[in-house]
Amino acid sequence: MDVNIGDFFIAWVGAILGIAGSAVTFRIPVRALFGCVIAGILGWQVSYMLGQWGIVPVYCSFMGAVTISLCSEILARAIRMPATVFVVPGILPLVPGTLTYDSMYLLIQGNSDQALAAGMKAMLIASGIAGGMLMGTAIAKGFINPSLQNLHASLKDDFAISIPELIGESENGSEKFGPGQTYPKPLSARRIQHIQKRRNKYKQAAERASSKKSTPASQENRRSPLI
Amino acid sequence: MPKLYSKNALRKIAGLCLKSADVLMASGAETARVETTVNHIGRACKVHVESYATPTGITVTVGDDRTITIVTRVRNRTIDLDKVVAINNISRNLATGKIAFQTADKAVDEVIRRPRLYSDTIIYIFQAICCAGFALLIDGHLASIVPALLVGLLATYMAEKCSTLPPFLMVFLNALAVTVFADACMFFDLGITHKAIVIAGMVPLLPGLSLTNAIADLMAGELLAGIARTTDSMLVAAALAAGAAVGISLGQFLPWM
Repeated sequence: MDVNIGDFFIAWVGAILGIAGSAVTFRIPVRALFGCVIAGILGWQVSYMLGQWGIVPVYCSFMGAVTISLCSEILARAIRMPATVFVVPGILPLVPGTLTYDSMYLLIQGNSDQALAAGMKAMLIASGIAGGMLMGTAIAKGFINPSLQNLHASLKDDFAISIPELIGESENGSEKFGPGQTYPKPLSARRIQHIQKRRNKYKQAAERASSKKSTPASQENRRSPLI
Repeated sequence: MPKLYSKNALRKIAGLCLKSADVLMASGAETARVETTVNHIGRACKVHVESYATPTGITVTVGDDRTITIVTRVRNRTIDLDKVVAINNISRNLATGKIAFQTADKAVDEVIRRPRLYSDTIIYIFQAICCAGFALLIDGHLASIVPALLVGLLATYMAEKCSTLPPFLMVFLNALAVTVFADACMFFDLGITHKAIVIAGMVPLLPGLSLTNAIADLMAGELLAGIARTTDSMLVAAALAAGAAVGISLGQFLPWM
């Protein structure tokens, strides 16, 4: 296992640039970009290291995909975003582009045996990635507690949003705010104070406006020659 | 327990469900997420909701006793994960009771109306950077940055020009253009490989999101959508391979190859 540090550094920079660039192309929000790069780099790193230790490429990409999938499930819970956001740019460095290219090139050269072998390898690696993502998602679904799965069971009825009220209409039309119908959240004392203050302000402003309006005749007299 | 709603209220709830499902499906969310979002909205409103989503159309039925059913077709699908994140946040806030129904309705409208997250210039720049990064990863030569940047710009330009064509034809033409550009690049002896430019130019076209969504759907038990998306990604891969094959075989006739 002898890795040229310069080559390794270049590959590392390339992977970071590639993941970040493709993340922007998929229109992923800026605050998720760092997470994307972390998940992608970890997965690529795992795959690369296993490859350096002489492990079969299919298994390398499988483990890389498992790492990416698990990382993105954890990040999804931490940053509160769908896990897809972190997976999609992350798996791009694992894609067997070189093998696919070789297979295409050999096919055109007329070496259909070698072309088939390379294509088969590429297909196996691609299915390894897919299987790794499946496995990672399954592990995450099984062991990390889903954030919204059991939420509704634990919710109480006391913030039931009643739609007819909010839309301003009800079944019989007479009872708009019936008993037992509560709003989503009780207002805090500070909020109530704020609302009262604002109401007073509006009231005063309205009073001022109405007192000004009490002398419309003089204004009209003043304006009419100008128009 | 479910409440009795008037027809108008049911219509509003169904409208919100359908709007958010449509945005999600059109901007590249997986089918399971679409159906879960609709269910969250229904539960937050305390009304029975059934939904059936496929990659090309969505049906939502709201109500217990008297029901309302709305169907929509999803015609042009793009990749816009920012909108997926936004709708996801809104539905989570609605389900946990942080925001009211009307606020959620307005927020979804705002998400539909707002322009896409990054401007075209930024997309061009980052596409080029992405291609340069993958060229470095494959080739390891610093000299491959410049042609990779150019090929990224070319791929984005082609994707924008051919966006009205059927998707597979667009991918085919794009792959062909990238490969021909790589053939032309080999005329200048820069010490870079043909392989690196071709693969770097094709990375943005890879069906990564389709494949990810297909796996997520299959995991969630959405067999139909999972198979449909798998077929989609296979077709895109086949179009890429065909474009590259035509380009490489054209390159065989060039004297410097």
